[in-house]
Amino acid sequence: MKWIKYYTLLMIVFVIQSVLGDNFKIFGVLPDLIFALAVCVSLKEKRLGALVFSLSAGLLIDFTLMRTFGLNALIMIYMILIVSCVTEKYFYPNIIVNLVSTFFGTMVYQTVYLFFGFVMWGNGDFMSSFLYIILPLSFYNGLVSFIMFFVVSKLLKEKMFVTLKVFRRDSK
Amino acid sequence: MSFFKNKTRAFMIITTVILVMFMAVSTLPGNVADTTGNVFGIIITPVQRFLGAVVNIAGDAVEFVFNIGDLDDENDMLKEQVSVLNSEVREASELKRENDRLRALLDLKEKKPEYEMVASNIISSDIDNWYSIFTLDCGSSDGINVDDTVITNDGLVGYIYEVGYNWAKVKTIIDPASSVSAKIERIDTVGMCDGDVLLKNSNEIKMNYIPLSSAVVKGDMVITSGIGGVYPKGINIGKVKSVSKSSDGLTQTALIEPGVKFDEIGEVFVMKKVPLDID
Repeated sequence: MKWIKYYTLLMIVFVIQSVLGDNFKIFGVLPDLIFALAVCVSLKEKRLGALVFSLSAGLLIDFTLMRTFGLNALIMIYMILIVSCVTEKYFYPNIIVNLVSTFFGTMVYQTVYLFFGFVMWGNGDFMSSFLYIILPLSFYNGLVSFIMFFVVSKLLKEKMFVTLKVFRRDSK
Repeated sequence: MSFFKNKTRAFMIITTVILVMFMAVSTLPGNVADTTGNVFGIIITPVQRFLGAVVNIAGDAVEFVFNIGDLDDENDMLKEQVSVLNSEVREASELKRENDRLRALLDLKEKKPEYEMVASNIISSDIDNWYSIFTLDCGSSDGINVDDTVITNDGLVGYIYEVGYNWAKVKTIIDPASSVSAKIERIDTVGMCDGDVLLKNSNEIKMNYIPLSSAVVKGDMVITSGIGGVYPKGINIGKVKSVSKSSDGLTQTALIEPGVKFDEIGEVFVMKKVPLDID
């Protein structure tokens, strides 16, 4: 039942992103709601389930873009794997960790995408694209992660602020 | 690698291999991904169309509320004017705009009798920050084909790069992977209009390979040259905003402001090629 809720939410987020996206643009930058959701789910769920979910999310983007099919899915699952592993070992999965994970995850995801999608083929200026697209997008996604965490918590009927501790004691 | 549990490791390896294969295969035409994408498009298009309609209704409602406020102010200032007259004027101006649009379309249709114009609505737009693509609510069932040109009465929008049964995807001219052979109308100079990752967000493109000897100036109109075979000749692209030397110093590069406002378009026309009756 929980996963049906997640996948329904994924479809809703996807439709919002594709239909209403233009209305959310700040300085021409569109937030990546799908990745923010995938990060949030990876903090709430076990690793394998989160990976399957992120694969579905990535494939959804690939089906929509129909460029290098699979690139988004591939980057997405590796990003979620990293987030999931690091969080499980060192951090409590709370709203602060969700924000930081989404911020850095977006930054790495988009940088890798920029490299494989454009720079590798001689298109686009890496530094300018990083400064004017990736950096604002990462901040924007960080803010969006709050909303996503709230929505997912409500969906699971969980408290939003269970703990604000960031580091696990046994992480050393 | 100790933190990889077995199931996770198996999942990652199998998925990576499959996705890499998909990435390689997706560069070929008519592949599995195309078919799957078509099925996905058939399912998602009605949902997007419905949500697009809901958004339009909500937008109209908000606009309506604002208009009521405007009309109230106007009524306070000009008590003699009745709201009926106002709505008539508004209706007349709307009809004029409609008339201008249809006239432009008719003009284009007369100039290009080999094309049939198919009106279509945009049901979804950009999903990320790198590409400029959108989905239309018409597809192969309406006779739309890959490489059909998409326009508005303001000019060139792009071309159809993928078609499903009830949807079609348009790659716009501001997409970083887009290239249009163009001509500066006043001086008859040919160049290439290319999309750019950074210019995409400001709805601009650049025209490359303009010879140094060409006297391009701000405000020059840029149209399609017809070279390349995808876009018909003579469609408005936009106007020159500024001109500079290219990085290698051998040619000039012009910054072009497209005639189409990509953030604002809702309805487009697909130029469907029709066989001419020779008799």
